Amino acid sequence: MASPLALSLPAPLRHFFSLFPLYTHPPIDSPDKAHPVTSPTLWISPPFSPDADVLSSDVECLKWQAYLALRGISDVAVRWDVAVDGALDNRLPNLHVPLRTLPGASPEVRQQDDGEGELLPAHLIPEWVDGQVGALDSLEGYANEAARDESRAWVSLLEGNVHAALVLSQPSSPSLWHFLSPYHNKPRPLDAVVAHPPAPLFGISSLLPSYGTHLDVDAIEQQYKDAISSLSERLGTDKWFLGSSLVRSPTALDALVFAYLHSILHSKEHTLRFEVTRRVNLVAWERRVQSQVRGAFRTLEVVRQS
Amino acid sequence: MAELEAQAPPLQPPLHTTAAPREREPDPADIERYRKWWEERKLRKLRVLQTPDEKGATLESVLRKTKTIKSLLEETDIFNNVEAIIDRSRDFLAHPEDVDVVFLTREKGRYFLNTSTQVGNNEGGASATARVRNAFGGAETFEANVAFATKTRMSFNASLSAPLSSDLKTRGEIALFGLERDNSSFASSYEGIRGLRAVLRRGALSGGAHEIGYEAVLRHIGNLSPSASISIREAAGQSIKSSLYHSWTRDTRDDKILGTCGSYTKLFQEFAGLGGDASFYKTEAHGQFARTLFAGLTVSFAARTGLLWNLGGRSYFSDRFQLGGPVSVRMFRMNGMGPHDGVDSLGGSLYWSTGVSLISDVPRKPHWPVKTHLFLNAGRLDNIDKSASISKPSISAGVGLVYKLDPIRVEVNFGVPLVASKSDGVRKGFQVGIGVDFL
Repeated sequence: MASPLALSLPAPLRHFFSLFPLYTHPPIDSPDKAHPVTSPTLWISPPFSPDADVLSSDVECLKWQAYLALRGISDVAVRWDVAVDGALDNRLPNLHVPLRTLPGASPEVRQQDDGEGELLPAHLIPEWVDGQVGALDSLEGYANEAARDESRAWVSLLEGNVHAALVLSQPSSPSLWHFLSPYHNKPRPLDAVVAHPPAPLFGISSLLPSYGTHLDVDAIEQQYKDAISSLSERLGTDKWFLGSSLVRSPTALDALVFAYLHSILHSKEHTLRFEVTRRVNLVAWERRVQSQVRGAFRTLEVVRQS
Repeated sequence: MAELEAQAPPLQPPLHTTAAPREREPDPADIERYRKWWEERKLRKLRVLQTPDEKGATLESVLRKTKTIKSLLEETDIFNNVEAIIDRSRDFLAHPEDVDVVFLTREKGRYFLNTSTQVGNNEGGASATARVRNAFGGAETFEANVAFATKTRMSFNASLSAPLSSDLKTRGEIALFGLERDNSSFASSYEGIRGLRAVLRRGALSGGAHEIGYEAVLRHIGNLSPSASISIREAAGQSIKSSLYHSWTRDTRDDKILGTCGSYTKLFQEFAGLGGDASFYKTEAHGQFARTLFAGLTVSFAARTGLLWNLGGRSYFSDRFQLGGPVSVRMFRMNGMGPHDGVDSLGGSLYWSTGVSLISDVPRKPHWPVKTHLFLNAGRLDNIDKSASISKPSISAGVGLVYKLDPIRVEVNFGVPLVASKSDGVRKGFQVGIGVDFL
């Protein structure tokens, strides 16, 4: 309800203003305006080889690519020409979907689809997928409750120990470019990833302001090796992780495992890669899932041409 | 040789000082060397000044020369006041008719530090400036400036300028600059700029000043609002511009803010594509002239136009033109004209705008700095590929008060847009403008 004290224009003035502009030209169009979105489009970081691939080189983006593909969504366009500054909260991936595909879209919204679409941050992607292919049950696709609970442990192992080793293998040294850049996008700090937060470089009584963190690289490497070996043992010859004979469909955990295995196999660090390449079941599994994930995506140019 | 070694005399108290007055003075050779260095230095300092013409000098030529040197000394911006005295020559070898021209000068402070607050172009802010005059003894100026304001969040500029020709009319400048601009009101984003510039300047504004320069700039569109449009999201990120530009400015107005006669012309052209991402040719022309119709009534006519010819693949948001606002086409939102995506103004590659203002004194108070004004503005911002539509202007009209608050102009206007494009952001009623250059 409007406050009685709120300023409002006197009626004659409002009437006077409503007469203007006396004449209206049509809106001015621009070639710089974004193309209307016709099919779901995932905004990702660029692939390792942008000419030949559609799988992102960034593990966070790849997780969601795998998630979409393994949930059965296909024909998703990908684009990597949008800088990370253009993403919601400066974090890729984002899913750009036409309004008509939104789960709660009313018939009017479906009618007035102007091509602007809706941009979803990563954490809203599962909800959108649920709207497309139907929601999962309380077991989230796992065989039973025990498997669901076990999956939590695997997720924390991958996002903790394996992620830490992967981040360490891609050191980001502060470059001149970084120094010049007006706005910085800080990646997730490493101390938020490793299981035991490392101590700061300086003691609490130090006169110097605390900066940097002290990381035990050997410990992270050892934890990584343990994680990969247990991952390999747990998979065995199963089709999917934690899969029993009853359940044949992939889960969110499979998407996560695939994203990490794919990133590790493309890593420049030999020791990191070697841990995976020496385990045949992991390599074969990654290759199989890779073709399935890749099949679900097309580049935006291909989609626009078709 | 041992017996030749100086032996300290045996100490016998009471002790007396035995130092002779000349003992601590430097070696005459050192003094000679120092004197030579000093004279060379003095010559070097004066190398920008012409050497006096000694043959056949008359009083007139001496006076003329004195005047030239005096104006040159003043032009260096090093001295507070320069006085010249013509005196009988004191040189022993001088002819009885010879004269000495003696310049009495007081050097301005070499170091200058200033903090200030200012209001201009619809924003307010605070700044700090440090300046070193005559930094290396050749009339060089070093200046560093940091400012914080409402629209331009932060800006810094460090420049070193030096005269390059003996008449001091040509100056060179190297500058490092950076700024952060808040574009969230019309493009849901911030723009950060870091750059390097090398400039050559020649001439005075009254006769036409040339400026030619090279610029390497890193532009970064970031800090997007959550509601930013997809077009702005696509435009986000970094781009590099490496460009050569030339501008020519001529200003004969009697007053930059509320001129009653004279004209102002500025031509600007820029070619980008010497490396970097952006590749374009850009040209702009601004013109204004004012005439007094009769006592107390002035008519001012202004026009601006610009064209951006894209030579590369894509055009960048930072390079495109924006139009509209209280210092541009009035009664439209700040940068609110032209192509839009939702609420975000995308900018265009071609624009023109023109305005005519009738400025008159407040009745019976001609000495007041407040004047009344009546304006009619028109303009259009579009893209080159649809040149036919460029002739469909948006037009606005209104009345207002103009206040000359040196060095800026404040306007309070009441007006309406008469013709507008559907995509234009219009403003009906009152609009306040603060700035220097108005349409």
